[in-house]
Amino acid sequence: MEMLTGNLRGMYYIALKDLRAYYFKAPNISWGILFPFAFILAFAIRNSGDPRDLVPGLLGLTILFGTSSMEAIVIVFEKRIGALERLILAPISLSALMAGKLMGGMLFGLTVTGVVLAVALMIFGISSINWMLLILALLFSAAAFSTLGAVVSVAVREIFDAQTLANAFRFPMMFLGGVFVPLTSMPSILQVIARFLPLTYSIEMLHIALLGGSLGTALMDLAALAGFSLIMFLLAVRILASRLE
Amino acid sequence: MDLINEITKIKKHIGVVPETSNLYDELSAFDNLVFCMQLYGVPRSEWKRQAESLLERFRLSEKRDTPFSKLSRGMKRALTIAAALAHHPSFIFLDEPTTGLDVMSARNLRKMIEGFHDEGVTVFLTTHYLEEAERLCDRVAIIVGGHIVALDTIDGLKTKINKKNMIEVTLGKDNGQLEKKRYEYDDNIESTLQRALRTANGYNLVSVNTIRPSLEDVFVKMSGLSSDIMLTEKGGK
Repeated sequence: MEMLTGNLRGMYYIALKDLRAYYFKAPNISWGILFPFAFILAFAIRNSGDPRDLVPGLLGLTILFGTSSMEAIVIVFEKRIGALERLILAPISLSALMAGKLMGGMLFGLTVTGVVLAVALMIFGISSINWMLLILALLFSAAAFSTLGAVVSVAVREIFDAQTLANAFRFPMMFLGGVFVPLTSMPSILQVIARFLPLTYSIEMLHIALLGGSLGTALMDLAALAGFSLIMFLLAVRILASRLE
Repeated sequence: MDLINEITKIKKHIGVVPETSNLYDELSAFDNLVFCMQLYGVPRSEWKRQAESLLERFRLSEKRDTPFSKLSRGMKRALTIAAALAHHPSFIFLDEPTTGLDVMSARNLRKMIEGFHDEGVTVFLTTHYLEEAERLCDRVAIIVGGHIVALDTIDGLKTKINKKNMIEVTLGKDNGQLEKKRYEYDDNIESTLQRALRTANGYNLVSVNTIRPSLEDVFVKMSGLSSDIMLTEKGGK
């Protein structure tokens, strides 16, 4: 019991420290909000369809970049300055340490996405929202992308490598995950590849939550995101542990 | 405590100061200390009092709200040591604590380290500065290639190498040349000194010095390393 309390406490304060020290800085916030809007706007100008169809993609992109951008850097940065050693020496488990790091990224991603959501709702006036599904979609998407960022961060030694590797995952996901083009309009081979990408499930679930669709599909998406997050979390902890040996 | 199964509990009793000061650049001196306390489960009621007391003790009160990145190297070092003490550990590991510090900062830091002893904190100091080890440590372990080759008190180690204390007398001859003579002594330095001075009869006495075996002598003998290898170990070659 004492150990559990210690781990939860450690997670909370690591997340809080990361948010203060790294995340809530003006460049991060502005980048997190403006980048997805810029992409979507560029696409919307050339697209004659219903602009509301782009909102799930906008939210998906925001949460993808909001959670993973700093997450992919924070651990590798702390490894370089020796600050990660301080956390490793603290009386908490490696899993709690990693969970604390993920919480910071998730909270930041969710905050930025909250702002983008509010603006998008004002502009596009979507009314029939399944809020419960939307919250679950955002939470599990944040977990999936944050854990992906963590794997990148523990796997590399340099910040530049982390950014390169993170983009190697993110940009293909952006074009294949249904952000700009619905999955059903893609060639079948790309549809198969898209099913291996967490952003696909995130966008699909957000679409159902915001614009309606099959609840069964949404639950499948939720399971896929949860499974992906769990695998990535365990992988991140394992890689970190192996680096310490 | 079980070193394998109770590692988390054991960590609570240990403070570590790595060779590089590794606090958070963006947080202030005060916030860095509070974060360390939060991490180790120090009760919230103690945070402010303990952080301010440590800042005062390490002469950093004026830098309370200064970000870590803006502190001088000596101040960063002092704050890193303060952070290791924030959760009242029973053991503290200091890795090369004075490396890269100016003379005054290094002196101040050594005084602080001496103070830990009085508080009942066991200090493990790793250093390449043997003079520092000789000054600060009750017991010294010499580690070569990851293995302890000697472990004893300073006097115990010196005894082991069979090198005696000596008095060195420097005499000036009429032709202007200097002659040095050495006399070994055990306990009775007075009689040896008298004997040494008798030999100065008829010469100019230039200086009289005592020569004691240093920890460096012990290290060289115990480690069995040549000066070339030692230079390579320190990254000098």
